[in-house]
Amino acid sequence: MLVAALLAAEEAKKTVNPILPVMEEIHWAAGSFVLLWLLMRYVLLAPVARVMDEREERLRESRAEADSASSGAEDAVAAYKAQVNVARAEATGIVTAAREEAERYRATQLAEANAAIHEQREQAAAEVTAAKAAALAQLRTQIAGIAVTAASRAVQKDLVLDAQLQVIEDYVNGVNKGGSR
Amino acid sequence: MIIGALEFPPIEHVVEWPAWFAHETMFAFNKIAFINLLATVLTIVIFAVAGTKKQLVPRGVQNLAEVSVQFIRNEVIAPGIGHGGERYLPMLISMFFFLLFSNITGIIPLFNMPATARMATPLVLAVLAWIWFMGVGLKHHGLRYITGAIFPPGVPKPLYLLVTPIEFLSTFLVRPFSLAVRLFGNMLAGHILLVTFSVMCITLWGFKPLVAALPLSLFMLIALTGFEVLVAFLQAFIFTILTAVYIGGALHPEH
Repeated sequence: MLVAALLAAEEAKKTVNPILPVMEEIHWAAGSFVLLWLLMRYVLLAPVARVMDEREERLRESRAEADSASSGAEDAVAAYKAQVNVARAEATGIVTAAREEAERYRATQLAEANAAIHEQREQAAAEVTAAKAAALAQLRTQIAGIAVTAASRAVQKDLVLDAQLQVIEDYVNGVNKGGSR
Repeated sequence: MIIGALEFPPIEHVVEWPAWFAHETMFAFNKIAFINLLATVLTIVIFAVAGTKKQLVPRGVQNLAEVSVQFIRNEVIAPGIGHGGERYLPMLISMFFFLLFSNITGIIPLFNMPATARMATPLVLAVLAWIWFMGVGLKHHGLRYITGAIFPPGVPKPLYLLVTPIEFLSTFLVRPFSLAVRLFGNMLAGHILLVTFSVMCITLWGFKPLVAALPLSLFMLIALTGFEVLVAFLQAFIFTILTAVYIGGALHPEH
């Protein structure tokens, strides 16, 4: 009975309980993990974290620079727009002034042209009047000549042309005077 | 164990691994110890190589390490600890990688065994997590950390007879136990499932009347292998974030 119990106990010792931890494995697990943790704590993690932090810092700086550049660009755009507005106002002023100047020039030129036309017209009228008077005088002389010649033939006597002309002239003048009455 | 035509190996054959050297000593080195050591070495190599690279746009190992650090910072420390949690990054990232590599060996050929399917690894990490959050609580709040935990404010005094033992058990005893058992149970169950479907595939291959069922078993084996990848990552994450939550509770008990 005792032998059987001892044999059973021995058998139970050999039977592995899959749930219970084994001390040898605990030693290795603890040793491995503690080694890893110590190396990670004091050696391994710092360089990786440093590279990540440096990259983060660089990204932050780049972002700040980009924000600054963007702000500068916005300022430049605002300044450009202000300049465009000023230039546009100046251009509008120049155009208005030029238009007024052109209007003034047009009016001056028009007045000068009108004056020149008026002067030319008066000059032409005077020339026409003078030509008419010259033509009338010439016509009168010719008519008197013809009349004296005709009278000479009628009276069969030579008449003095100048004396006859004076007579005719006096007659005409007398007719004119009588007519004007 | 023989069920019908299937011959399942005994459970000790599935989880017990003989020592490779240092037999019968307290440092007997077996497959589980090798996986634990491998997890440590792999993590060291990843971070040692990543630490030598300083590329502006990280690639390869540097990318893996930086993404992991970012992941632990944003998804574990920020929600679990909050302000002042950065100092626990080395411990939490070591824990995450150690568990991930210890879990993932369950689906890697030639290993085919997660180290966390043995109780030693989950227990060690759970005890360390317990020591850690207790230490943080006592360091920052002294004995008020313990009294504040077991005598929560705003509770009618007679109820302390009921609340105090429950809070004591749940905060100081159940936490490490639940951490260890959750990880161990999930990984052991996954390992047994993979062994089961592997044995079934082998048996069906040799048992001609039922060979038509082999594709189903093979499909399950492949699907469960994929599922175990998810479980390996998820369990590492859960263990790590719960540790962070416990540390956060010790650091800011008012929250």
